[in-house]
Amino acid sequence: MKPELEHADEDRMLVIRLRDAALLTPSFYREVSSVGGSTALAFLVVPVSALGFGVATLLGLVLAGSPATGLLVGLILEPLVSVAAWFGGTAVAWAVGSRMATPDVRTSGFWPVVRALAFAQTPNLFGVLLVLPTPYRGGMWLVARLWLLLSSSTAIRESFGLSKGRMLVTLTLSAAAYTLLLVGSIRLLGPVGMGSATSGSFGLGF
Amino acid sequence: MGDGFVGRVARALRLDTTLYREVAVPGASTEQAALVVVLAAVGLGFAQAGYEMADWLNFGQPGLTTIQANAWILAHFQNAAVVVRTLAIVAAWPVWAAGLWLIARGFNGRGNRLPGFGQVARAIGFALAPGAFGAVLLVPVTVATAFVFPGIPSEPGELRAPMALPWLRLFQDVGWSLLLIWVFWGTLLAVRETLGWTFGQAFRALVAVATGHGLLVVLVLTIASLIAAAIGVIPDAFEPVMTIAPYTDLAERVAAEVPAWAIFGFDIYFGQFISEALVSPLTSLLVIVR
Repeated sequence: MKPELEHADEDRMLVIRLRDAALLTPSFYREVSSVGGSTALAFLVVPVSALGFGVATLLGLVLAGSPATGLLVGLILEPLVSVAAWFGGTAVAWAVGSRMATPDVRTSGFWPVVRALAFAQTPNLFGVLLVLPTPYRGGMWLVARLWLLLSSSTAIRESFGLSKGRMLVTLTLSAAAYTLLLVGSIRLLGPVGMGSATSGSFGLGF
Repeated sequence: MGDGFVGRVARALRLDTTLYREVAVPGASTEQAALVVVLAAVGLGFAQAGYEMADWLNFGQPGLTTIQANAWILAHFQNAAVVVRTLAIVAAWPVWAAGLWLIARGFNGRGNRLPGFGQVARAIGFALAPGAFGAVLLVPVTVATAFVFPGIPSEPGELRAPMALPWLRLFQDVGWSLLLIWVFWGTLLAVRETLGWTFGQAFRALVAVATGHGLLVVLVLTIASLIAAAIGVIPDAFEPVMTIAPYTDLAERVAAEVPAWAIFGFDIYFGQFISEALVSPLTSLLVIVR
């Protein structure tokens, strides 16, 4: 196969994977959390998905007359912070979920869970809809956040094979860690425009 | 596609009765049903914002100036208000599922099969799918606010195109009615198929659950009002968001009587639907608590 065709296939495969992840397809999450899945691709999905909110921040800051800050915050800082928050949430999910999972899940290791929770970040792409005017922006923010919660729920259930109650405990603690890291980073980097798409600090108002 | 999510949503929109039995099967994805609820809830939240906007503009249009209209738009079209409305609809989903499940348990004595709570929740979750189209109802209102009321808050003036308002109102009335009928009919079919009831039984169960939910909302708001009054958060929180000349009196009167609703982002109109008989004792109680 020619290299360009291989690239086209890979791109199409990524799009299909992102679609299946966003549509909360249980079999997809089982597949990526099985042994032999592509961890590198999963690592790519997290910052790419974070660009959804990042682009909204960029456009907001450009409209507010700060394009350089928009580029720095929207395209670099926000994806970095998202990766850190995702990794923190995944570590907590592993620490909690692996204790409650069956022994075969524990022996399969950390990376299958990492892959599943990485693809679960796909709904962050909808963050780009925060460029819409009020009151659409509020609704889109909520949809993106709740969608992320539901995709994480599917990923945790399918990768650990947990019962509903145990899955909820794992999801709650993981989501709490993710939120704390995200909110903490936004508070820390807020003065340079971090999180402005959500908080509306560039004048759109939440 | 993807365990049939998009196909399932399309079938829910077509009111395909086989869908409700399919998603009610034990082990089906509850997350997918929850996603449908979230999308439907935000659509209905948008539709509600659009409806109230058109309603208020028609009602308060005579003598309304541009600055007043803009002030109201800013106050009422907050993102936070849509978020609260959407969350309220999402929270109603398990309440309705629990109500229907409890009624089904009551019928079970006669030999009917007993579905699980999750089965009922998934079926009525997918039945809400048409609600996502509610977002469409907000579009003409948004366009109207942009063109009929130019966004120049510093320049008072009369409305530019008041003749557009009755059409806006008509669009909202027709759109809301069709949307609610679509959602209600889907829910009726979902309940009938999941629980194996007749149309009559399903209809009576839905009326009972709707009544129970309404009472629950009033109860929760009353208790929340009392708690808010007791801890002293009301005096600062119930100030009207904006002062709008033609509605200053109404906003202040209603906000003063039902302060907690202002805290929770509910519209001042909600207060108008509650009779004096309920509001007056509640107000007296709040004064005592404070």
